[in-house]
Amino acid sequence: MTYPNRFSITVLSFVFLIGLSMNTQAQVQSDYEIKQNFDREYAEVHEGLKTATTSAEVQELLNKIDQMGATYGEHSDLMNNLLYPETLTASLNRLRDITQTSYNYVTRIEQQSGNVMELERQLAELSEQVQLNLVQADSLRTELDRMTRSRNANAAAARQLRDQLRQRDELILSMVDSVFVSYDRLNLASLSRAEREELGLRVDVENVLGHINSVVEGNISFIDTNTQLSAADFLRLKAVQVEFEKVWVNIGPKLAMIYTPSAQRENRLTEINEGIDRWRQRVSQSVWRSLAAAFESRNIEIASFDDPVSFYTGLNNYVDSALSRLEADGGSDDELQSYERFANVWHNDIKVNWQGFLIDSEILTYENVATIDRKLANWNAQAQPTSSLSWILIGILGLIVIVLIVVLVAQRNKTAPVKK
Amino acid sequence: MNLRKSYRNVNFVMMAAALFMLSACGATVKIQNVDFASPIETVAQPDSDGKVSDPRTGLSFNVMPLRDFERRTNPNLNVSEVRFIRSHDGFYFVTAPGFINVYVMQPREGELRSVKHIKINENGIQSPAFNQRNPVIQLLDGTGSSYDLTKDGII
Repeated sequence: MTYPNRFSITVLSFVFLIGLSMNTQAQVQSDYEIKQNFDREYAEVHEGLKTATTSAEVQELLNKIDQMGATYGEHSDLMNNLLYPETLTASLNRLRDITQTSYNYVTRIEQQSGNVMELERQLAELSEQVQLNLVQADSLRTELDRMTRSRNANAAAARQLRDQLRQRDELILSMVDSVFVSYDRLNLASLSRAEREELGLRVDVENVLGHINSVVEGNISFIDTNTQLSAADFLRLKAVQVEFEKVWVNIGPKLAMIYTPSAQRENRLTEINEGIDRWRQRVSQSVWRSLAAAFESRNIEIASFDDPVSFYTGLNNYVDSALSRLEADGGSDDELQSYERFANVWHNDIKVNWQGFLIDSEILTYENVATIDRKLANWNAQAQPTSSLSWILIGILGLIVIVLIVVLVAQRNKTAPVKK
Repeated sequence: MNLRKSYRNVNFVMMAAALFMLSACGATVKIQNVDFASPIETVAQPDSDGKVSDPRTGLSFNVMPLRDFERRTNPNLNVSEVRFIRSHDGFYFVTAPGFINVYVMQPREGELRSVKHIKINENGIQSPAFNQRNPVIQLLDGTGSSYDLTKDGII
């Protein structure tokens, strides 16, 4: 048998005394004081509800109510007697409900306040953005005014240049029509030397070849400095160039014979011919470039072209490929849109604005235009989408034909004489 | 003679009836096992006349006789607060800070009459408080000590 040692006895005694002390402490609490404390804490929660403005404050009150439940739950019998006809639980629940309602209300207010703050922040941002936009709008308006003035000035300058060029072109063409053609009709070989010199003195006052050369160089310079002209403008320049060159080929050598000494004649002719070649190349490049850009801007992909043949071939191939597609797949809304896109360019741009120049420039002929027209009509007819109703009608018609055939055969069999 | 005899008999009957009626009028109804215990003590401040009252029960009385009794041993005693509680058997236990005794008071017609002075502390009770611990009344003296009281004293 073992006995506890002295240390164990001391510890056990100490624990017993502490327990006894705690028990005594627990026993000496006044019921009246408990009730007073309860009433005070209850009132504190009530007062707290009146002054609480944040959810954190109300949450503290809810925690306090929970704490009260734990504290006074130990005295529930006493509290139930004192709170009669209410009970401790009912009393605390009522207080908790009120507090919870306040919590919900304050939380909602806080959320709304948060929303209001967010809205105010956004409003401030937007206001700032608006101010920024206003400033930008002012600068843009200033820039726009400047650009408008510049554009108007450019447009006026371009218009002026175009007018000047037109006047010069008209002068050249009228010269071609009147003077050059008149000379073309001359039979220089039949003229005597004196007659030629007299004619030269009469006409060469303005140095005809020099003037022609300046016209050629002026046109080249105009094309080089005005690269943003429209396709119609370039086509018109091309038509003038073609007409000029056509006449020059016939008249140039004759004029050289009249107005240029024989020693300089070859050089002058070569100079002008080279100028006309450059003019043709420049204007042709500009025409093809502007036509390609015009088609591209209208979302029509024509194969690249750099001469009349490849241009016409490109147009033809574009239409032919559409027709081939339609023969394979039939009409549809997409095909109809594709047709309308090309037809719009063909009818509204090419035929209205460009056709005359295209023909004068010898890029297209009337036959070419007529061919494209015919193909377009065919394209239009085939591009129409086939509706399901059509197929249904065709099916019904086929069914009716079959039924009629069956009925006719049956009647013929019925009316046939019976052989005995 | 017979008339006198019969008259005597009538008187006898009338007297018997009167006695019966009287006895019926004086009969009492007794309810037993009544619990008078109040759940909590009443703490009341006496007014300038020494009157204290409990609005819950309607009880009111003057504390001056108790004060005067206590002043026999503590002449400087002032009563700023009175505490009382009723036990299950209907006795009021009354004391106040500084009192030496707890007074067990029996309610009578228009009066409370002490049936017992329970001496608690010669130097006066520091902070007395009553708890209802049926069947006893618990007294806390404010120093951590408690006493279980009945109308007969400390048990």
